[in-house]
Amino acid sequence: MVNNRLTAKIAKLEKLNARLERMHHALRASERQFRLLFEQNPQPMLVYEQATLQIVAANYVLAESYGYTKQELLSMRIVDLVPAEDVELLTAFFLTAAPTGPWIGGSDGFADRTRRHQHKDGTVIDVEVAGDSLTVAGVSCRVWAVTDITERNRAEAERMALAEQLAVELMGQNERLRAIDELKDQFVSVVSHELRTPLTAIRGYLEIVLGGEPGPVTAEQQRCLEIVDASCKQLLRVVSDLLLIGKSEAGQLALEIAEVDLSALLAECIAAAKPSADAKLIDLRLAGERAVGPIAGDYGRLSQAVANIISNAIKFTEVGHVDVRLHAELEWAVVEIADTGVGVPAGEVDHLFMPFFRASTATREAIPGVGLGLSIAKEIIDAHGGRISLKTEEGSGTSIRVALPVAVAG
Amino acid sequence: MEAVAGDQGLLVLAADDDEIVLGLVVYRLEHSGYRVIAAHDGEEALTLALARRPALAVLDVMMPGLNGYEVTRLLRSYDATRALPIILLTARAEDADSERALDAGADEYLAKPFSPEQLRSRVEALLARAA
Repeated sequence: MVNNRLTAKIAKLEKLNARLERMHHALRASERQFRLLFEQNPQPMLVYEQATLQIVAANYVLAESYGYTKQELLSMRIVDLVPAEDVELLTAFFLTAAPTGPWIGGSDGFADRTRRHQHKDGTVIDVEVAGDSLTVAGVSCRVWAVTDITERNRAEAERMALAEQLAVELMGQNERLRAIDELKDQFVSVVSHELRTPLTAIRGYLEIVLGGEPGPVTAEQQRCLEIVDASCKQLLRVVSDLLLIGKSEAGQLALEIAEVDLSALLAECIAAAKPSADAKLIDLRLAGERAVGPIAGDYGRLSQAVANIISNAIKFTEVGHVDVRLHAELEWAVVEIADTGVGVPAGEVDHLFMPFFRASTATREAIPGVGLGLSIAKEIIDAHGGRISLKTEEGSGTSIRVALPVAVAG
Repeated sequence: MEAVAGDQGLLVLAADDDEIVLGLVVYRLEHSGYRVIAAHDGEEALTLALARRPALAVLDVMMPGLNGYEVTRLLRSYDATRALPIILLTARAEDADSERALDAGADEYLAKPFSPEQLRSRVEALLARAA
């Protein structure tokens, strides 16, 4: 009986022993697995004792990248991994103020300090450290996962330097552009004065000579001097155009607004352009006119705009006619000036209102001009809150439409 | 009308640093019957205006030293020339120039290039108004 009981107990103990053995194996396997996870992790990692800062574990990749053997690391404290000048500050920090719980270097108030580590060979690197607290065999420890961000920081610094350099360059360029703009304004002002003064003398004396005061003028002389006068007027118009473009680009185009009778304005512009149309045997006519209310505008500027468009139409027409029409469309007074001239290629239409742009048909046919007429007309119409548009077909003419808001009573 | 002005032989001061434009002004006014004294800069214009007491002054705006605006302002500050009719010749027909001319105290302004006939009629009208 006793024997039987003993045998049963032994069997029970053996069973227990086998079970313990299995558990022990499983535990060791699990430990091996976790050790492997730490040891072979591609992320450099270490564990140190919170109280002494002594490194108690470091993985393979950390040892290799820092240039120490694992044995050496296990005899070091974490402050041995930072550059000498940071040691004092960081020792105090790690011992007293290091955060508990998970954290990432940089959010601990020591962003710059915690981001410098030193390799065995003296190389200082920038690091980002993610950490957490843990207890190993009852000892309070911390684990670090270290990422080398030297390259990232260098690239960032390079990018910042480049951006700064770019900003400086841009500022310089801006400055140069401003200087050029000022020079242009000055140029326009000087040119205008320098040209207007001699033109005053030329046209003034012409007027006196043509008036016959200094002596009689023959018919032939009269004809010649009238050509001189016409050329002067043309030159003066170019000077005025240049000035106007300069002013409108600077946003200084001032208008003297009054009530304008467009019908009278058109009649005057047609009368003024008639001689040059007649000279080319072109029929310049008021082809249609319907009553349009008065508009609020600058009579002189609007005349300049219309005169430019009519002058262009005549210049671009060899045979045929230039028709001027006036009518009302809702709240708009619409002026249309259509010619039977050479027209403009479709691809150039968008550029026609740009200063100094000359259509290829103009250069091909050697039509005189500097390319300011239409851009000036547009500036003036725009300044009146109006609209200008153009329809053209190469070979069959151009039609320009100007719409100006009709003055609303009250 | 010209004959009337001429008969009076009124003294007009003309000032411009540009000899040719000055010549034009002098020619037009002299041939319209006025006696003309010419100044070549602002200071000379001021001195002549105070010393000779002309009936009217035609001043260019852009002169070295004292410009036309400054001469006008100074002339308006002396009792002797406070009421002197002044026409300023501005370089540009810009609004700013005309406004400045009137602000400075000029009675009229003429933008270059002006017609001599235009100048003559302005002078005549201004003198008639002052009379």
